Amino acid sequence: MGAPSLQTAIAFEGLRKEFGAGVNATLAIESVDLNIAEREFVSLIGPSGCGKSTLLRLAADLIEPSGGAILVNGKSPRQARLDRDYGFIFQSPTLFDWRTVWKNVALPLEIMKIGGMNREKRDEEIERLLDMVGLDGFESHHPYQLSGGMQQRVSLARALVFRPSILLMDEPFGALDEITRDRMNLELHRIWAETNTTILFVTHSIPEAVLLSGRVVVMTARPGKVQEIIPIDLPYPRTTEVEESTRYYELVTEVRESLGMAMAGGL
Amino acid sequence: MTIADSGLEIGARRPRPWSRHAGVVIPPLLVFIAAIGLWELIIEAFEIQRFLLPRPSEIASLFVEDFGRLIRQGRNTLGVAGRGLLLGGGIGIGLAAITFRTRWMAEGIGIYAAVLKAVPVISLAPLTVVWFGIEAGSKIATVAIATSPILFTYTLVGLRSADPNAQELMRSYAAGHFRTFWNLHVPYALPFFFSGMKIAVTIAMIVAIISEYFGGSFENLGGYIRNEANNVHTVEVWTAIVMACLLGISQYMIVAGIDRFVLRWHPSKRNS
Repeated sequence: MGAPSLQTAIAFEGLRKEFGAGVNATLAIESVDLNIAEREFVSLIGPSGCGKSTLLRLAADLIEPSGGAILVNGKSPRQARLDRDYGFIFQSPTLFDWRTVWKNVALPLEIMKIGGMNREKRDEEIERLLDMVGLDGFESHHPYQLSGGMQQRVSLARALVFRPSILLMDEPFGALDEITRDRMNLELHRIWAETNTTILFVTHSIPEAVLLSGRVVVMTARPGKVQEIIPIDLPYPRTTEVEESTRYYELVTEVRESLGMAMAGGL
Repeated sequence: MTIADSGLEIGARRPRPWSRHAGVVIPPLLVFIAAIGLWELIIEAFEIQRFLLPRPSEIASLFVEDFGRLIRQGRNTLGVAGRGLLLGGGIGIGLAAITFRTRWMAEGIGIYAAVLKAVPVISLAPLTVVWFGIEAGSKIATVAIATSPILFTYTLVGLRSADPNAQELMRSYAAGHFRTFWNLHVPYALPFFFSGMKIAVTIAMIVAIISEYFGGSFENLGGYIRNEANNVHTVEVWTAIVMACLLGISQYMIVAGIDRFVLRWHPSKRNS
């Protein structure tokens, strides 16, 4: 992954973000340089308050940088947002309780009125995605009738339905139990491999970051900086067998040590 | 007789719908019957004169006799309350929808809405007569003044209650203001809107009847009550009061029913 022939999907250059102003201003992110190639799966990991979510929200044009530059698919984040280049997944599923599972997944298509997509094709697409995330048979359920894991699957299907080239995921499985989380991780990895998507993934779980990623970006806290970028040379596809390999444990240790140094530096 | 025949076994496991509702319906019904009985008894025992407090049985029989006229008068009062509510609701909800994104505007109006809710709006009724005439117009205006701040406040709070994550989600879709409003803010506002409506329909009915006390046609509940009370026709006054109560309760129940149906998905309405 990250071969030079691939185009850059997201580029952060000398990025800086301050919250507040004057004496009360806090520096959340300082001089972050990071390139994420197309089709790459990159995890951001770091102690809480290291600005990893801030980085994601900057790329999504949900907030604006104080300095430096961001390019998403070679465009400003704002243009990329208007072009619907990315899907954003929050830690909470953020589903609409008044809509059925089916209608929740249809929401982005309704709003975007994507040209050239007739009703039949649209329905086919929704069906395909619900199938992909393992939710067929639940189309007419309401979100509150589903478990937390299933709700997050709906949220994933909803993010994929308009085929964005980039997925920005902000601790998407952070609120799930360990068992569900493991399964969701492997499924996400399978979906990533099937869909040609670039994924920028914020997490505070080391094993999760190692299992899923092509590269793990370790960040320091206050202000958030890139401490180290660790390439993950595990074989694909990532399965439970990979999770039991010696190399996997070595990499988990490497990330943990780097994270330990990042936290020591932040203190 | 077997156990199944007795209905005990089935009844014990799964109460039938009627018996589940019975627990809710029967106790208040018993209280009602007891109160009416006591009322009759007190009149009998203390020989209370008819013009002070008539017997419930007398009120009931006149109510049945005059039902056609009472319904006609009730319809006129309801028409005034309804049109006033429509106007007040339109103004209140409209202002909330326009200003909810702009804090200073919403707050600027909010203060006057709070003042309007605190003052006894009915004291404005004679003034609206000067402005809009003695007939329906002035009464509709008074109802509108009384109900618009209620619906403004409730709708505003509701529109503002939309989940911040969901707002960011809509932003990530590059959804326009109207689509975000319709798909996100309106559903979030609905539970608050219905709470406001339950209060507003009751207020509208009260204000409509009292406005009718201040003059105008007798062909409505307030006018009829005013006229009959002046002639000390206490039984007639009571029949109009009963009609007003019945209309008020049914209005409330209709709103509550729509609320239940529209918000089936809402945590407060879900069947477990």
